[in-house]
Amino acid sequence: MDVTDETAVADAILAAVDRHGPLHGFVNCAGTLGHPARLVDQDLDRVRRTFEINTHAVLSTMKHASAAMTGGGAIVNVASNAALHARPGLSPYSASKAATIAYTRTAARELARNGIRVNAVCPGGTVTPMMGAPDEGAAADLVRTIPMRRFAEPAEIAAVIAFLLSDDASYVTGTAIVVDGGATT
Amino acid sequence: MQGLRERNVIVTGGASGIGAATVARLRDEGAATIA
Repeated sequence: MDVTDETAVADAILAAVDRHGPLHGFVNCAGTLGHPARLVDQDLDRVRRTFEINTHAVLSTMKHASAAMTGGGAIVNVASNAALHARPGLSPYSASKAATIAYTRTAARELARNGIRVNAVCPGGTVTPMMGAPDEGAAADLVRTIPMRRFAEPAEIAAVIAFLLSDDASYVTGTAIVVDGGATT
Repeated sequence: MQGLRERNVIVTGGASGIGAATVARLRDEGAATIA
């Protein structure tokens, strides 16, 4: 699914409902780090692309997924702890993820009456292709700022996402749960 | 761990990283995932 193409998003969700039945959950994991650069060196075309993927697509997918959750459901948006504290070179990424949290909170308020919960997860450094090797360069510097002195495993983020989708989180909506080993404390 | 049994869940970005781990976890929990 090309999350930046609203028609493709709508078609994919309708096709999933036709094939599998009512939609109960939606997880927005697609994202990009963009092109890290200091503020004065930012290219606005690249910034717009970062927002298309990290932010506008979240609105688009929530719009169409929530319409397909006719019996209620849960949406989880993967934001970032970069939305909560400044990290040099990542201004578009940080801003796009902060906007994702704002969308999450607004959607939670608007969709509660439809029985749909909406939450965000804010991972810190995680062992993923996006982050790179945790023992090299900037990633190694970042590890030293984390109280737990390691990056998360993707499964540790997935566990929180699964919780937010489940009935165990039946009264949880509008939150942004930080999962970063204490990096933003 | 079957807390999401018979739930249909769409995951974007499910090919790698957190998305792939999420698909695996949700399947363990019994969900039907569409990635």
